[in-house]
Amino acid sequence: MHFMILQDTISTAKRTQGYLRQTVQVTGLNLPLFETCIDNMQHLHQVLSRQVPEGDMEPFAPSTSPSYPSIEFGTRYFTSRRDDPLGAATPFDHAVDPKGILTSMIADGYFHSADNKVLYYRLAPSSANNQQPRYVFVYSGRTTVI
Amino acid sequence: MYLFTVDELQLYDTNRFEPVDPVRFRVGDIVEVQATVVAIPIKGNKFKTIAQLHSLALIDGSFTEVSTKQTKL
Repeated sequence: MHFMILQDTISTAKRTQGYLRQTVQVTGLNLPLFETCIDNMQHLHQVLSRQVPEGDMEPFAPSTSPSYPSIEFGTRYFTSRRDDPLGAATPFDHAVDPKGILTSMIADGYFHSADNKVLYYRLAPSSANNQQPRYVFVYSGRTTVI
Repeated sequence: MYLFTVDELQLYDTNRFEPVDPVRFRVGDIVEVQATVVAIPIKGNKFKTIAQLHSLALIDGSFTEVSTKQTKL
């Protein structure tokens, strides 16, 4: 599923290890593929809601800012030892923590685990075929391939 | 308003992904997200469904410049 980045921020509202996280907010600009994605997430939310006592699950609502439906994906930088007492700590990647600030925040109760890692990739055209991604052009309900 | 969607079959037939520095990502980029939808306990014995981010792949950054210009207008 492909999206457009709306917001790529490091949330610093609460400067504590338990809440600090990296997030990305993406939109599909009302395209049907993205609506399917939101429908699937709503379906998964309903499946999960049935695993907990009735009324205990917070409602799922995709954000509509600024003007299109969007979904926020996030990962916390730290895991609490209370949640994972035996998990292995891993070092922060230099690209994620170039100044060592996050590393300096590792405290007794919190550690950086494999679950806290976000991997970053880019699409590299193969040397055999130098084609760029092709886009399906949608305008006024008509579809043309360019 | 012009809208685009990536032709997925063409994309995966001929291309591959390689690691990239996270600073390369900008608002307006076309990306692919890998995430897990999970329920987490929150205060008050309640639960919340969140989408946990695992990986972000830059598919195309050529629209970013347009996005930056429009933000400034």
